[in-house]
Amino acid sequence: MVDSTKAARRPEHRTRPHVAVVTRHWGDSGDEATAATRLVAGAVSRHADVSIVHLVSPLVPLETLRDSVFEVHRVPVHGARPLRSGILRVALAVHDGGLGVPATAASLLERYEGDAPEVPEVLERLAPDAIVLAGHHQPYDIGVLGARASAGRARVVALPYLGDDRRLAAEPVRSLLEAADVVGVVHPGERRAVLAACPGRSERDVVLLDLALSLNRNAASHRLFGVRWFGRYVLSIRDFPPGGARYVRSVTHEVLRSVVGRVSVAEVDGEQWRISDRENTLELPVSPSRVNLWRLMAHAVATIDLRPPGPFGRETIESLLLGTPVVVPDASAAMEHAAAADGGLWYRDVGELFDATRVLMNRPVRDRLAAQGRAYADAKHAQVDDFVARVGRIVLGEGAG
Amino acid sequence: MEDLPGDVRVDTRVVVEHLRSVVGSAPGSYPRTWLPQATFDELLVRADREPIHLHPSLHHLHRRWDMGHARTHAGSGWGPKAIGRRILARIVNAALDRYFTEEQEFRAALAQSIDGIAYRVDEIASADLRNLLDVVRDDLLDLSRYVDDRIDTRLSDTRASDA
Repeated sequence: MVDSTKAARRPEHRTRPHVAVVTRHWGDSGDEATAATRLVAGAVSRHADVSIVHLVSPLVPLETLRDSVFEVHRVPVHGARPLRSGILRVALAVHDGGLGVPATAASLLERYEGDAPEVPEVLERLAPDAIVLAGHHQPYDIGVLGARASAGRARVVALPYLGDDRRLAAEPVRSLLEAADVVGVVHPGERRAVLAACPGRSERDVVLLDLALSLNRNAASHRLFGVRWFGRYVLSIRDFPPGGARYVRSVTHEVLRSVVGRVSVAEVDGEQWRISDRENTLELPVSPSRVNLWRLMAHAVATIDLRPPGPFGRETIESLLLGTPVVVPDASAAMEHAAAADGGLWYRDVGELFDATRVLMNRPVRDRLAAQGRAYADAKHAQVDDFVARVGRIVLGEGAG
Repeated sequence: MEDLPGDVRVDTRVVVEHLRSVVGSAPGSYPRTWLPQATFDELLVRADREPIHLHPSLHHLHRRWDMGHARTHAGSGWGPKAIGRRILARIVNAALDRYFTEEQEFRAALAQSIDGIAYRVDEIASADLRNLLDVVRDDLLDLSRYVDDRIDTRLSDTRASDA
C-alpha cells in the first residue's frame, strides 16, 4: 500500500504537500486527455509539489526529467500491442458496436494495453500525500494503492476521462473507480454514468472538475486576414489540433456550403485552413495554432464539430466562451456541454447535422443560444482561481484551496 | 422560434427532440436538400456521376440536327396563302439549296462529333474509375497481408518470450 504516513521516506526539505499524477497523457501531444491532465496538474501545483508518473510506450528506461514546475518520472509500459488492440477493437465495433465484448476479448484487450509493474515501486519511493490517476488506463495492480478510506493511505483521486460510457463495463475501469476516494469528471454526462455504474458511491465523491480555460480574447477579437471579405461564415472543424483523430468519410466542404445558403464556410482541416463562398475560395495562410482557431471561432455564426468525439470537449467550451453556438456530435462530452449550457445543438447523423445547422441560420435562435452558452461557459469554465481552489479541495481534501 | 421574446430561454434538448420528431413523423415528405453522396468519400461521389452521353442537351441535339424534313415538306391546303407559301418555299430552296446542303452536312458532322466525344469521355471516366478501384483493391490486399504478417511476427515473438 502507498502509505502517506511514512514521513521518514519524504525529503526533509519538503514543506508543501506532495502529489503524484499517474498518467499516460503527458508530453507534447495536443490531445484532449493530455490537455486536461496538464490543466489539473497545473492547478494542483499551486497547492503542492507535483510529480508526474508518465507511463510511456514504446519502452523507455526509467528516468526522471524536469518539465516546467513538474518532476516527470518516465515509467515504461511493457508488452503494449497497440496495433493488435486496434484491430480487435475495430472488429468488435463492427460486430455489435462494441457493446457485448466477450470475456475472452476483454481480457485480451486488457493484455494488449501492456503492463507497468514499476509504478507501485515509484509511488512507494515518492510517498505522496495524494495520488491522481489521470486516465482510465492504469496498467498495474491498482490493489497496491490500498483499500478506500483505509488508515494512512494516500488520498486517491481518479480522473477516468471515459469518453465513451461503455468503458465503465470493463473490469479494470471499475477497479479504478472502486479504489478512488474521489472521482473527478469532466462533464455532467460522465458524472451521471459513473454514479449509475457505482451505485454504492456517494454523490459527493463524484465531482465535476469544470476545467477552466484561459482564452486570449484580445487576440480573438481580430479576424484572420482575408476572412472579412467572405462576410458571415460558419466554422467547421474537421481536424484540430493537426494530426488528431478524423473521420475518413465526412460531410464535404461543398455540401455544407450548399446547406448554409448565402453564409460562407470556413474549414479547419489539420494544417489546411480555408474559407469559401459560392464563387471564391481562399486558402488561409496561417499557422494552425489555437489562437488562430479562436480568431476564426470568435467571428463565426456557428462552430460545427465534425471530428470523432474527444473525452473533454475543449473546442466546444472555447466556442461557447467566445459567444459562438455549436453543432456537435451526439453522445459526446461536447454534447453534454452544449446541452448543459443550452448553447448549441447536436446530431446523430449527417441529416441531423444539416437540420441543426439550418436552425442556427435563424438569427434570434442563434443569438439566444450564443448568450446562453456564453453565460454558462463564463460561470463554469472561465474562473481560473475558482478552478484552482476546487482542484485543491478535490485532490488534497476540504482543508486545501 | 422566429420571434423570441427577450426573456425566453431556448431549451436545446427540446429543439433537438422537435427536429427529430418532425423527421420521424414524415420521413418522406420532410425536405432535405442534401444528397446521400454528401457523406461518401471522393471515390463514391465519382462513381455516382451521370454519364455525359445521357445528358439532355445531347438528346436535344440528336433530335434536332436533321433539317431534311423541313426542306422537303411541301405543306398542305389549297387556299391562296398555302399556294403562295409553297411557291415561296420552292424559290428559297432552289436559291439556297447549296447552302442548306452544306448546313445539313455540318450539323450532321457536329452531332456525330459531340456524340463521339461524349462516349469517349465516358469510356475514359469509367476506365479511370476501374483503374482507381484496382489500385484501391491492391492497396487493401497489401494492407491485409501486412496486418497478417505483423500478427504472425508478434505471435511468434510472444511464443518465444513465453518459452
